[in-house]
Amino acid sequence: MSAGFLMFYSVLVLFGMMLLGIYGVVTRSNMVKKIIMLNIMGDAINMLFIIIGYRLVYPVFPPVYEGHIPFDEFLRTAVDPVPQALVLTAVVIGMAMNILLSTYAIQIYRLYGTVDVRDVAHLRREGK
Amino acid sequence: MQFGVIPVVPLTFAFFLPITAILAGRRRWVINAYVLAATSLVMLFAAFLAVEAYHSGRPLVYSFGGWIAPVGIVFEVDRFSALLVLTTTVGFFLAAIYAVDYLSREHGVEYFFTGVLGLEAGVLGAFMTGDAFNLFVMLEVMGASAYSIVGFYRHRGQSVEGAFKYALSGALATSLYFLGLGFVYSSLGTLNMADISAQFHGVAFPLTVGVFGDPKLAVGIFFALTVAMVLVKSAVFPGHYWLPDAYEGAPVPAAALLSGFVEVVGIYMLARYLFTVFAGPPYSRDLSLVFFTLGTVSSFLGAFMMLVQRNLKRLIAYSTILHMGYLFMALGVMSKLALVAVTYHIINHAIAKTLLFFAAGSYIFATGTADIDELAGVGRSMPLTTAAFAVATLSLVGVPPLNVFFSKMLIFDALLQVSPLIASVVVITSAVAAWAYFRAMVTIWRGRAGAGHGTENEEGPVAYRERPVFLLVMLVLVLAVVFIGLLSPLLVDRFVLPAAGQAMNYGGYIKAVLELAKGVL
Repeated sequence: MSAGFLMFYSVLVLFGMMLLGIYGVVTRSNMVKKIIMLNIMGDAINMLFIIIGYRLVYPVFPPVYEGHIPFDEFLRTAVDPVPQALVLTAVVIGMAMNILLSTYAIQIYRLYGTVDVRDVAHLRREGK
Repeated sequence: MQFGVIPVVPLTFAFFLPITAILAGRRRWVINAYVLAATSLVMLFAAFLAVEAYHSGRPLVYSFGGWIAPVGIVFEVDRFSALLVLTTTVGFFLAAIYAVDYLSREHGVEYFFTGVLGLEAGVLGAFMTGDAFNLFVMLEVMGASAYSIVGFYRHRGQSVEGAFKYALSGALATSLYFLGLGFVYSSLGTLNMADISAQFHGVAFPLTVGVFGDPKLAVGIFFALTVAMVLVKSAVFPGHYWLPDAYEGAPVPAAALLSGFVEVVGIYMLARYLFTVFAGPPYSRDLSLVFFTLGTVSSFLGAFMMLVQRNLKRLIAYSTILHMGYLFMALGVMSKLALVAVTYHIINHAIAKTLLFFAAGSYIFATGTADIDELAGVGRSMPLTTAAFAVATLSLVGVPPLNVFFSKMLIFDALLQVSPLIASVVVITSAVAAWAYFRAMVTIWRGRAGAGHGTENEEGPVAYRERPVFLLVMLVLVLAVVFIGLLSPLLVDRFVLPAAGQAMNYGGYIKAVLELAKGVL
């Protein structure tokens, strides 16, 4: 099994996970499950970003240039740090969104006694 | 002056507001003065920025921490951005005055205003940024603040439910934009907008090595994902489903801000990518087709749903969907006239829609209900508010001397370049919307209050008092609607045309950053 195939396989699986996440957000009626599926989707995208910056060579050097190897070789073997920085930002933002969504889910549970969106819509139509 | 600090100002004020509120204790005026000081300071800075942008022949660039373009994050402000920034700050200032009075009976307003200032930082950042990833961050700053202020009435079920729906849809949509950035980064090797544009148009740029793979395909996928994001964020069909619920639950000032300034950020992004960064985009025929189809469906849906609404806030919400449909359609033309029309309509729609929301909010504040039938006859005891309501509806319908008429006409002209059939959509949907506004207006003004409704008791009709602060804010907006309408030819010529011209000149956009980068390297 070549390294290129492994890379392709990971990308394929992550795309599958992302589509699964979107499917889950749309079809699940439980708010907590919606939030979980949103996280699965977000993490799949984050992993895809990590793979963009990854180098398929051994050994992989950390992206700090100290003049220990020629610059061309460094460019070829060092991991691209930009996607990692982007993912770090996206993870923090994702956490903030999680907290906000969970807060609203808890508040809806307090008001309606359920976290199922169909039940909430039903209760709302009855004028609660 | 370093204009890069503008989005940082409301953000800093937002950060220290909860602490100030704890120190202030029960003294509500401290919070009010704090918020008004923050928004007026930002408005002042934005005025300086606009003057600077119009005097300078090229886009202004500010690099954070002195780190230049492909390495660090830069803010790049041309006249297009500066115009929108100025409109936004004025809108937020007026909304802050209105909100101080509107929420005077509520508890926990400091958290509402924290959200409002965060929202202002996000919107200004999105308009000013010159970095595609920074735009994603600003979208999330804007989103998090918007989701919080929509759910301000946390003991009302509909409010919290609307906020949850909005937050979930928004978070999903921005993730898609993030994925789109992955395609652009892996193909063009950079995230700076000027650098992306340089790579796409084959201009040499320091430090960026060049394109990988097929950039046309990558940009095509990026546009597909970005359009999907904008459909949800700007509430264009089929991503509009969250908007009526969110607006119905949100406090009126929050709904006005969302409608006027937050929805258009998506439209601004698309305009920036279509006209500046990827000028002459790949698959432009397919993109145009998408814009025309979804914009048309969105306009018809907004107009016809307006006819059946019984809730005043939901009626205005569907009117927002209608106008976002117009903007979306105009983007599909991809000519200079279209960009002029989009820029001018964003400004005019924001002013007129804010006025409409504020007038409706005055009724809702006085009576405590947003149901049109229960509001029957309220207009008679609030004549000045009704006059403002009438001006706003007439303007949004497109009656000649008022401001939205001129931008609708520009959109109509732009669409005529493609086909008279598409241009007729603007006229037909305006007529339908006019009927919906007319019916609401007649009910509120001339309607007879029924038994058991809030506007009449045993002694006859209840006399509602009009609040002077509301009237003052509405007076400013009415004057803006009338005078921008009267001075339209002059304003378009002097301000909007140069803005569109500069936004379409991608060479100048790249050069401004390139020269700064070359000066350091």
